[in-house]
Amino acid sequence: MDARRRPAVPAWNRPGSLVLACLLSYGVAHLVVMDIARLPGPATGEATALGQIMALALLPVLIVLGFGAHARHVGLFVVGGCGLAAALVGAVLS
Amino acid sequence: MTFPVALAACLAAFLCHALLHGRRYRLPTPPPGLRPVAYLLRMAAPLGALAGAVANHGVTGALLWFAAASLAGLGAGLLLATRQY
Amino acid sequence: MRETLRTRMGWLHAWTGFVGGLVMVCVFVTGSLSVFDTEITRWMQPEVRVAPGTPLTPAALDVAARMIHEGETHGIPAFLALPSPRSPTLKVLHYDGREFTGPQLDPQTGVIIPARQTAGGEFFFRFHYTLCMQGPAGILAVDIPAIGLLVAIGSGLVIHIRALLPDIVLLRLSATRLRAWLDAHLLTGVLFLPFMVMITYTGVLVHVDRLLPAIPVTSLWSQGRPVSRSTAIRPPHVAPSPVFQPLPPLAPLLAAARAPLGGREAGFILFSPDHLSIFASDASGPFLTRDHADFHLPDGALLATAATSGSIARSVQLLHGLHYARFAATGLRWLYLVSGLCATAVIASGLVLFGMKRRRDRGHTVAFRIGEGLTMTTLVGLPASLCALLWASRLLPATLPGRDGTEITVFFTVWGLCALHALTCAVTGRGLRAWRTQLAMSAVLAGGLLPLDGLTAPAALHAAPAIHAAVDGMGLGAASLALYVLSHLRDRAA
Repeated sequence: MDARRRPAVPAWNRPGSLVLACLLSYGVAHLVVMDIARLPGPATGEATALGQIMALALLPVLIVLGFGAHARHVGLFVVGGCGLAAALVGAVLS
Repeated sequence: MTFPVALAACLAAFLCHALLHGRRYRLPTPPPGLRPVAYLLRMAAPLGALAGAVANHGVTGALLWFAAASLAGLGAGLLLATRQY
Repeated sequence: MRETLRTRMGWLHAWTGFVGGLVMVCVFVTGSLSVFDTEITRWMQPEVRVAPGTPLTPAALDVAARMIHEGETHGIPAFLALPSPRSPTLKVLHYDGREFTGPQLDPQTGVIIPARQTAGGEFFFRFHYTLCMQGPAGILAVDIPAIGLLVAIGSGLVIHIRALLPDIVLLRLSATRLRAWLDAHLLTGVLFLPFMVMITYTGVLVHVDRLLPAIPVTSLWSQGRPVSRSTAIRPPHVAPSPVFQPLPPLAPLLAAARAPLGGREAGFILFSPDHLSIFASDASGPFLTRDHADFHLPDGALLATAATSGSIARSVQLLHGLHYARFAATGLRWLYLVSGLCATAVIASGLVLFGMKRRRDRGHTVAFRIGEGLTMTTLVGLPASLCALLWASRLLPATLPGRDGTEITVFFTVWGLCALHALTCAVTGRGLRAWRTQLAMSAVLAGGLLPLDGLTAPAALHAAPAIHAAVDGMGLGAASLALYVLSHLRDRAA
């Protein structure tokens, strides 16, 4: 869609949207750590470290994605979807 | 020796880059024969320096190369900026 | 206002960059200086004049061992930091609840060097990752803005992606002031992007357990609950005090530890009641390991060797090693310092741009003026206070009790006064005057380090000329920069 024809969105929803993106992204990153820590294979400490390395790299990307893709809140839905997938994986692993 | 070589290679690459984007950097257009050389130098010089640095010094070499590339870019930028005065 | 990806990313970049940047400037400045923390400590302790490379003798090790055993019997567990090319003294250190402190010994004779108590370069290091706040709050106060910086970098990349490569060395100093500042921000930002991402990411990773613990979120809150009355009144379990075995001569153990540590130099020795552990030096490679050889007490027989293997553990060690840069030779350390200062310049130019873009429309509002005051406090007040700390280390009486704490008080007092001055002037519409006053003060404090050094410790200047030249030269560099900016501000005012 052409940018000029997009409906105007009030600027006040930006801070709210950022807070939501941060909270959702943090939740997903935390679930990633928990999931990888539960993976069979490496020792728990090593798996946790791997999870933290990955989750930390993911966290800023998720925040930018969740906040940036604003059309119909696609970004927030994508981040939420990632969280749902991570929660399901966690349920399967536990 | 790794750092000066990487610095020189990256500086040459950045200056070639500026030459290839002559209009942006307000530089004269390079003659047609020089363009392939500039393209080659822009790609090969930093990559060659990186390969040499990593082969000789491993992780330290990679760090030296990144620092050299950053400082060479800064030097090239300042050189091109002061040229305008 | 129409919402596009670019405008939205612009808003995200501006606000996360501004809020996070105020903290990250402090973190990057002190972090860059921490690369030379040992050398700064030596500048702040002019009494220590041991030449680098002075050999460590068994006699000195025996003196240190006696001091440690004596401390243990009095309930003060200590460890021994061995001499290195950067720090040539032998240190018997214990943790006093805030930092590692203790006497320094001559590595040849074992005689205690009467060095003044000082906050030292250790202060820069501690401030860098905790802002001098106690407990996990300090670490989170740095880590959360660091994540904000990574978000700002990501959003900045999205905004600038099309021009990223073509404009990589574009700097138009002759354009308008805003354009020139933006070009400078982009030039340094893009060129030092790999360093900024690496150092920020690895920095947060060092304390990632605080930010992303591998425990369910629900238990995070239950951990912090107050202790119930029934458990609070229970008398604490008193463990029987351990019996510390006498220490054998340490020199043969250091020689014996070389082989199990793979030929690496020893860095420090930890002591337990029935064994001691000799750890590999952090300077021995880019992997920040805690590999050690354990020896039984009191006979000194080799018990075990702990060496980390496994690709994940090695990766973590490498990431930590890249951040701490303890393996780096002097040349690479200087590159870390310069890169750190350039990264600081990226954030600082971003803070200035944030103000410049909003000055015309919102320059009259209190919120804008508070923002300007905070920017001033960070960009000019912090360097001035850091210089004040160095001045205090030389001007306070060498025998003053609690001297290191007084130095830190001086630092925070000067910074607090700078903040008060900046905020008062900015809110009352005299922001430009405050910039000029604080820049002049910074120039005097930084430029005065050389005469101060020459007048208060001429002998130390001869003993370690490179260290003193570097610190005093950095002071002169900072003073020159402050004077250059000051002259531009005067032109603007005129």
